[in-house]
Amino acid sequence: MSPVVAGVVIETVPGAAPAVAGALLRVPGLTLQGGDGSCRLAAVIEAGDGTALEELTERLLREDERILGIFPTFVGT
Amino acid sequence: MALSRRDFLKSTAAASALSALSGPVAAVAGDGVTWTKSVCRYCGTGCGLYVGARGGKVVAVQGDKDDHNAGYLCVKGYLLPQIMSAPDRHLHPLVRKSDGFQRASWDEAMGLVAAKFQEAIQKFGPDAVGFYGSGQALTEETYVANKLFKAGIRTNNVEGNPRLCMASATAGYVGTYGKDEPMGCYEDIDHADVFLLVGSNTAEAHPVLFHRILRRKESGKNVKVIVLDPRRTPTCRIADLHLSFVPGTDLAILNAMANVLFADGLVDEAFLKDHVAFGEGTEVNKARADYERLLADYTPQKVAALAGCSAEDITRAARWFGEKGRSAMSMWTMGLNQRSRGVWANQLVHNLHLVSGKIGLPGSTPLSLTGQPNACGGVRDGGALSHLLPYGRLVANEKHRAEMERLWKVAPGTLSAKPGLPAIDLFRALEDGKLKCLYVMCTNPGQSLPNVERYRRAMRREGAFVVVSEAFHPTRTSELADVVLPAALWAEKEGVYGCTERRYQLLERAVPPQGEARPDFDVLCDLARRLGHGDLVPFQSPADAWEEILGVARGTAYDFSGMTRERLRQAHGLLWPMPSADHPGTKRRYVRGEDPLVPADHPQRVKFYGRPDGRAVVWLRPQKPPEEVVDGAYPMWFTTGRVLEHWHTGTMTRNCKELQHASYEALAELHPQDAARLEVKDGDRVRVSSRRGAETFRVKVTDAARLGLVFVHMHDAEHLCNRVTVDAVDPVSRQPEFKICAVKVEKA
Repeated sequence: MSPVVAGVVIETVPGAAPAVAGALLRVPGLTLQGGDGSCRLAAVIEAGDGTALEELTERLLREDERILGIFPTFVGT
Repeated sequence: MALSRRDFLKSTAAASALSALSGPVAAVAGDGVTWTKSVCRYCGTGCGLYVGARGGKVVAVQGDKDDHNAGYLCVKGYLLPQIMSAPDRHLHPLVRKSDGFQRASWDEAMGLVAAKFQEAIQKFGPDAVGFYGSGQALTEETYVANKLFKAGIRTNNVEGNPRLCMASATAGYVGTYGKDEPMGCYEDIDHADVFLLVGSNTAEAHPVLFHRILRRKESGKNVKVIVLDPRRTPTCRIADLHLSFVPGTDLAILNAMANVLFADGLVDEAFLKDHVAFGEGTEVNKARADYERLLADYTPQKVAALAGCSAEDITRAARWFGEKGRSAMSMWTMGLNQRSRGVWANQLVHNLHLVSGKIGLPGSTPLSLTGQPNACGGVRDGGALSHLLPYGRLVANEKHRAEMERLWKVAPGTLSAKPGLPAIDLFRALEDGKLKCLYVMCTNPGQSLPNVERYRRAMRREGAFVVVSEAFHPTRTSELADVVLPAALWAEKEGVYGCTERRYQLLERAVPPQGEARPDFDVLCDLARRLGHGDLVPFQSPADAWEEILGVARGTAYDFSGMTRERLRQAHGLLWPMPSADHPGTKRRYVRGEDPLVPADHPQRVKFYGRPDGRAVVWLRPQKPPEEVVDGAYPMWFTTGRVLEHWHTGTMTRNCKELQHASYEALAELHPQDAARLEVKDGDRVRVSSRRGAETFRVKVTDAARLGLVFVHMHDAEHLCNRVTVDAVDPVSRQPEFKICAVKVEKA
């Protein structure tokens, strides 16, 4: 098992990025890097392994209806 | 300042995410990585990408910023490198012996395949053998198979899995406009004011196109998204109107929307007069008044009662779609196609565009979304189905057969005038012993066919000989085979893919095949030579076959003879028609000034040249229920679909460790009230039974489900939704009705 670091863009419904960012502040392993102020957030996710990474992104997608998609931009181990 | 490796990774990750905020995904290259232009292996969106290779292995991918996807990939595409070296890659030929599969040499395996096919053809005639291919195979591979079976072996038993996903879209286009394939393109998304998404969970099945819709919703003024779907899918998160309805009643809803267009004066009178004819059944013999009489029976109030939705929502959807001066784009996929009246459902969407005149203009187009990366280019356009010949030609048309005999340089009368067996009938022929040998390439019917246990038994029937060419083993099909050939996978071979929007793209080979795997193109040419048809495949490479294909397409309505190999190599996708090497390609088909097949001096802005009179047809199609409806014994509806993280039968995505545990297990999604009635909660097991079979699933309770409807995804190889689905087919397209059947659900 090797730790994984991923860069992701998180797409939200229009205008929801600030509110989603607030909720994401409480997610362990996720660090917000920036956003466009409306519907996109840049974040770094650190997880114990690839499976944990995917489980986290899946959970975010399923549990927060304001999140429309999580697009990976980089995955490193 | 020294950086730890972890800090470095975090900095790189942050930089790539931040740069992607304003545009495409950043490239992340390491030392010694070479990048080769290619296309994603998964859905029909056809995202351009670069394959990064080092030491003969695929180590990374990056989105192609210059392709239509602007550098974006979904999570599946980003994790493609992992499928290449998966533990179940199939690397050596296997032959079934009395004690199971035994490793064999290529010569032994191919010798056996050729001998078995030869024997069946000699004893029982050419129709005793068949080919079942794939919308994932490369165009050149499918072309060689089609040519070998139709012109060499002389059977039209050439089928493929696009029969399961796109046949109704094809028949819808052909019936309405005379020719297959859409007239619009992805760029229309950037101009649309209204999106009508019907039977399409775009957010999960086509995430990069969903992303583009989202961009348009941000940038456009008052852009509306209407979603017609019984389930509240993630796509509904951007919907301004989600119209949920009783499964199978969407034909009535689409007619009701047309009713509103007429009632509210949203019809384009000039367009109707100049470009539209009316038909019923198979004859174009009706008038506008007949159509309006049919629609009179589909008032929003009446349809709402049938469909279990609100009349106001139907009216609102129609008014948004038909509003004058605004563009409207429809997109649909399996929710309409996988139906026993899938062709009608497709045509009712086309009707909305034709009566409102919202067609052939930027942002106004009916665009069928494709599920596989080369269903359009290889199988539909290439004519590799049992009733087709390449590029719009038909088996049953004597002139078309004569053309193909000339182009393929075979004697007149070589091509059989009898259409072959469509997919379900092909497997039924295997079941009843009429079909002796079947060659399955790049697909997984042992999992993906409806009522699958029936056809799994057929594949193992005594006397049936089944060859499977696959990159992975075991799959739910290769486990049933007599011979399993190791196929080269994606970046290990070269060829062309054609995606949803008539865009053709070249995938170049980035790494050599692993083990003893060979490209299907080579294997099929080998088989042709062993069967005595080497003269049909005088090719040294797929590029040679492409040269021949350009000649076969020349002069047809598909003409892409200007797409030379070199041009494809340089370009980031090219859209046909493209009849010469200096033509830029065609974004909008049938449109004067864009489509080279419409004369520049044509008096109107569009010409539907696929039909003899140049008019598209508004078909009068009544509401018809699905083949199987709920009743006392089977009181719940059952439907199947996709999730974001997996694709098709999961042979590839379950090999990505990040995806393996993400939504891979098929769960029965139940509405909370259904769950309460059944006394089940999340994680409990239920047995879902239909008249054909049963499967056990764990439960997921969600209010995204519609009351009375069970949803299960199609990707799980252990919990097979297709043990339950129905193998009834559309009478025209012969596509099965995966999307609707009746079941009973019991706590297991």
